[in-house]
Amino acid sequence: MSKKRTVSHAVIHIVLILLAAVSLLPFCSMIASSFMEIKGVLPDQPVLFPDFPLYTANYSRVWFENNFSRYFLNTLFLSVVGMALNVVVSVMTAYGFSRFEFPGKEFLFNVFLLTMMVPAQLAIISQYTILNDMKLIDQYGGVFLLWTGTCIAGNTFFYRGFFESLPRELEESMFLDGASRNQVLIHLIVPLSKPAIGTSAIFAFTGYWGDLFTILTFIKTEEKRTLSVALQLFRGQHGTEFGLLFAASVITVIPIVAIFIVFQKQFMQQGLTEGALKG
Amino acid sequence: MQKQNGSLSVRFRKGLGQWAAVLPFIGIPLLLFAAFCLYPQIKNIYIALTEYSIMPGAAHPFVGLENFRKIFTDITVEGSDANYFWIAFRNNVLAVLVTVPGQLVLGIAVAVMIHQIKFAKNVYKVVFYIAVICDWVVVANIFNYIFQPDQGSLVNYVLLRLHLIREPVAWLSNTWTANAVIWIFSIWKGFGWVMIIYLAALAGVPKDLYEVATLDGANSWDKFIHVTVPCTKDSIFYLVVNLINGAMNIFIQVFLLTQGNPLGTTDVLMDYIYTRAFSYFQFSYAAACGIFMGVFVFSTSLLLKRWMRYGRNS
Repeated sequence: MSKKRTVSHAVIHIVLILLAAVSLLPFCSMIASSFMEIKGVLPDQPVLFPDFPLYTANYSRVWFENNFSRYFLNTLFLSVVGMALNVVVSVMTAYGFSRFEFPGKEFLFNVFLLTMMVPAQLAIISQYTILNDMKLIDQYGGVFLLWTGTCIAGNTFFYRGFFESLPRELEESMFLDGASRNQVLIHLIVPLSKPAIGTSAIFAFTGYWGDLFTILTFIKTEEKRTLSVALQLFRGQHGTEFGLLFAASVITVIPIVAIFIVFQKQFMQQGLTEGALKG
Repeated sequence: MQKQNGSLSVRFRKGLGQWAAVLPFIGIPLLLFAAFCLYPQIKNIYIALTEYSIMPGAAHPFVGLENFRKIFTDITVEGSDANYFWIAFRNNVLAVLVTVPGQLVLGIAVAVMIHQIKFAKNVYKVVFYIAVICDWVVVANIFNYIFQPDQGSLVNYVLLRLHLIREPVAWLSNTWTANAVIWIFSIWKGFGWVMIIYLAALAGVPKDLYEVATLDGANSWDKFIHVTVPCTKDSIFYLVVNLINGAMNIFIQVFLLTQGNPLGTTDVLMDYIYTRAFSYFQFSYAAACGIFMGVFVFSTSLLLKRWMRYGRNS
């Protein structure tokens, strides 16, 4: 029995390693190519490992000459502020919906759910006309308003369930001690919800970091671009300079991979929360 | 409602008080939600019913259902707006039919395998999830690169070596190979998400059910079909609904890899709509197409939910 199990485990490992190799091969190719000078026609064999010593000129050209240092800072700024706004607004709304009674509450909540069922991307046309009327095209302010306005429905849905599962006793004793609603939210609910807030904040950050269409549609000035958009337009100009293109790609994706490796647990928890809530 | 609260003015005043209490928390968020999420969806309808111009101070003459009629005019005439629209619609449906089963089967298979083993579980999870978290633009660049028409591109090279093809294929220049690349891309990027969700579901299946099945002489496949699947039905339902929604909204893959080329034959609805609005500035027609698509997605997902719930009770 146990021998049979060892054999079957070995087979599973072999299958998984093969699949993992197929999944990772494209990434290997990207990293290796970013350290090579590839222009126009591709080499006769695919590049999977870089030559040594490493050719690093692609990185310095992208970072210094093609302004990617600037785009990096822009992206960092937008993602951090976007994430902060996302968390504050969503936590406040969910607190309102989980701890207050008011007429029309469930109706509003159903409106939230309804807007979640319509493809969000479709709104981009009228969002453009609205920001255009507000003179907020090409302004980061407009991007923040859009990001914040569109995250509320889904996040309220997510946090409300979590807040409602928290025990009420501590809250009641805080109220007896004369605490205000604000104090209860900041000193009790938020600390107790750290795992949920952390997970959702990380997803917000990575989502904003990789956002393409909001920035592409609403930001016009070159100096205000983010990495994703710059990379997409860079491909138009240097389409066949693959070495250069992949140096830019690696710069774009490294922070996300780093965050993923550090916060693995939070990423994997997505399964737990979503699977448990709705499954 | 209690009797003493029955009088209208008392109830009204009570409601007002409740709103006053909650407004500091939800006031600004509700305003933002209304202005940038709800109102745009409603304004889309207005834009679709007029000939909308983004020029300041321009009039927006009401044209009724004219923009919707365009979707159904000259469907069979090659090169007409409607013709391209329905090609894109076909590709959306194909994307659902191919990428949903693809992601589901691959993701569940990988999850079941990882669930079985004890060693290096986390390494596999991380490896298969990396594609999910990477920027679309970055992975699109990689796919564009490995599917280049040269004989030295990764895919051509491997297939030539295995003698599966005789000469290099220009993957992204032909309708069906380009569509296939888009589907493979979607499956490759999405199955890790299925794996994570399904692993969580597998953790909830009671172990003793498997032991009973083993005593009854069931093999691994029997156990999967008769124990695992019924116990994880709800998660599978959740996955299917979300994958179909995702596949209907397929956009960024196409926008980055083919932009609908050759000749719009790999286009999908969202890309078609985005291009009509922001390259051709046909805001009203694009909005009409968007509403058509929105109604279609909304009603199919509603029907799907009905149908799957019905299946669950019977």
